[in-house]
Amino acid sequence: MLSRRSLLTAAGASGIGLTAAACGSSDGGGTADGPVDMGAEVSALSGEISVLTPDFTGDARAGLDDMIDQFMENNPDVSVTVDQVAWDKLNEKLSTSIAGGVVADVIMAGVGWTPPFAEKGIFAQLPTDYVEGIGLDEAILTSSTFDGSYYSLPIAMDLRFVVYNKEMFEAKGITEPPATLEELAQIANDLTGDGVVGLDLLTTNIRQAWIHLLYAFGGTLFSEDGMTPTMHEEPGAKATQWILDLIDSGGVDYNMQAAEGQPTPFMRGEAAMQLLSTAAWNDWSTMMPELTEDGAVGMFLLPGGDGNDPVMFQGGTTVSVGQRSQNQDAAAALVQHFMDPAMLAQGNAALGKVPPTADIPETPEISENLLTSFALEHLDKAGAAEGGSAAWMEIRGNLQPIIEACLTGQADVETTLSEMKTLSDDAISRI
Amino acid sequence: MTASTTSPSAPVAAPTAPHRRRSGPRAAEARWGLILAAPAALHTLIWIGIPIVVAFLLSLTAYDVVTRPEFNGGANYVRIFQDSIFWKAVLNNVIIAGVGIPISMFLALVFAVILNRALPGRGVFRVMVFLPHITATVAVAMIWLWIYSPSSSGLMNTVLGVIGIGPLPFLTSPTLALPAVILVTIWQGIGLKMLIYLAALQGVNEELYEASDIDGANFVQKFFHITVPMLRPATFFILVTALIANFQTFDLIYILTEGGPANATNVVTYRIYQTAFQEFRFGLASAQSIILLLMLIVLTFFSRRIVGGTDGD
Repeated sequence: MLSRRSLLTAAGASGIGLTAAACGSSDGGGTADGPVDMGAEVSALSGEISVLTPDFTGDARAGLDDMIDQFMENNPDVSVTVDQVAWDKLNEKLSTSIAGGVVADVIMAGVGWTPPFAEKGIFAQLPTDYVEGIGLDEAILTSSTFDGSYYSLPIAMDLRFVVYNKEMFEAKGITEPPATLEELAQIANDLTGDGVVGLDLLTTNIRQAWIHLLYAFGGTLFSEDGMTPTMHEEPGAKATQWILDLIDSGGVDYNMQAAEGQPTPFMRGEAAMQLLSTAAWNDWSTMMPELTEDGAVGMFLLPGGDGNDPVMFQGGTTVSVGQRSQNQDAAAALVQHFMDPAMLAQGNAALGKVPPTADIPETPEISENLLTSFALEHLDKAGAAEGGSAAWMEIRGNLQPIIEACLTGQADVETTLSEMKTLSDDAISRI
Repeated sequence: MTASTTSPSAPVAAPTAPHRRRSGPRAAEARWGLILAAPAALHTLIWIGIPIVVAFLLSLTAYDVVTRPEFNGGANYVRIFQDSIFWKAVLNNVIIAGVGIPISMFLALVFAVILNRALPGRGVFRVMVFLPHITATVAVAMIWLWIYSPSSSGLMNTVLGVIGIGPLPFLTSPTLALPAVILVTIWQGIGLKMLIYLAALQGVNEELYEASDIDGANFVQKFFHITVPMLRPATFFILVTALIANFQTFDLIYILTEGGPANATNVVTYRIYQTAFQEFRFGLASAQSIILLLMLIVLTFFSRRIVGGTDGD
């Protein structure tokens, strides 16, 4: 029979053993130190690879399956399995799969995730000549880099700009969209009243709306190397104050946030303008098809402040090769396949998102999507994005409450920016 | 003062050597007891004991899943004491528990007493009260998202609109969000508590009520002097399980508010989730889990003292 002492010893040993097992797969480095090989011959590719994707849910899954079928036809010795996970579970999926030692060969993730996952050795480096050879706009590629190298490629973008109710503009005699943030604020105030709020700024995502404005005022989140926060500098203060002023005047209503699955205030005619993401098209199509008719709504880029250019916010899906993949050549080939113009067209048609380039075969889903068409015309302006630091994942979740506290009057602008800096410095110090 | 039943000078029987019986009916009973308890003990060791040990070991490290854990002493614990968001989450849990549990326990007791009587349709009412408990929290949260919807299409705001109030931003206002969450926890928590009270009420000796009737006690007197004291073990059980459940609330917050706005509804488990799965700081999250475990142990101890539970509870 086990004595108490031996039982405790066994429990302790098991605990340490489990800890070691949990860490067994976590010894840093992957299978390749340099960029992956994007030029392997088809005849040399074989084996099984897996794709982790938070996209292509529901009806869109058929589109992904078809794209993969085409890849397997071209690469008959490679088989592909798909692991699908909801966006809000992607972090959990990645961390538990890393702990379990089974990380997908091809990983789809969000904009802003590239530096943290590249720094942690989860994403493999992509060859610069291949990435630059695709011909994507520099603005689109800004969020794919870490430490001067590429680690991901944008495949399905979710871009943001402002849409407006043409009738409400006409009723107030406003003939031109605003060219500056000052004009936008003025128009928002002019359109406010009679149960209508001028600008629905915060429905999509409060943190991302603030970052969008930060870039519009010429700011950035971090220095170029990602090691120094810059979000707390003057453009950050101006962006915050701009929102606060509009909340004070009533042109923006903090509480005007649509619940999941509910029509937005703009769709209900309760907001004259909305800072909107292109993903709204699907909701418009199902809930408010009249908005999808040509000429039903007006669109303009978020204007710049202080003489800066207008800017689009860039969200969406990126694709990377897993650094720990045991079959990187095949994984790289699949990424190349996804980036093929025909696949970009097919994938984005299925998703209702924006391809990272307008240089794709025409599909009715994309050409009839007015939000996508507008975004494609302005891809070079898609320079506002989350991320830019390897510490972003630590900062991201905690940045939102700081912004919310300011916008709800619990903290002043100075305190808010100071908290942002402290948060960022603290996270960066652990890199 | 109570006199001692023994005096120091009283003759004391000579101690006898412990006599262990290694055979006979009692030994067989003990063996069977051990055999029957073994599966549960093994389960507890593997699925509770070892994870606690592992969590404690990880809490002493900087661990991000990707790289090997590095021992950092008590740095994570020091950090927790500097983490204002964690303590805000603890405070929120305390408020939710402090407001929500007494109200839901009181309502559960009232419902139990009423539905313990031979009323027409009491089975239907029992099911209605119990239904929120057996409904998946995800579904509950989705329903309350609609009820609290900030637009005029939300049920609550529609009702308030009829009497000229609102619309109110229940889940986006820093002042309204926590009360809104507490209301859901009360609504969802009554069912199970009522069920336990109903079961406990079956065990209250009817003769006590009959005797109090003879003494002329009214309903309120009987309730406070017989029902409530006789339900003390059940109350202790409900209080402890409710406290533990409260500090483990996650899915409701995850769906309703994601801890916002500005951490107004953040709770400890959601903070642990954020630390681990959003920030990839598993060492710190393990330390937060250990702190949560210690808080629950302390809370259980104090609940026992407050309610006056006994060894038999």
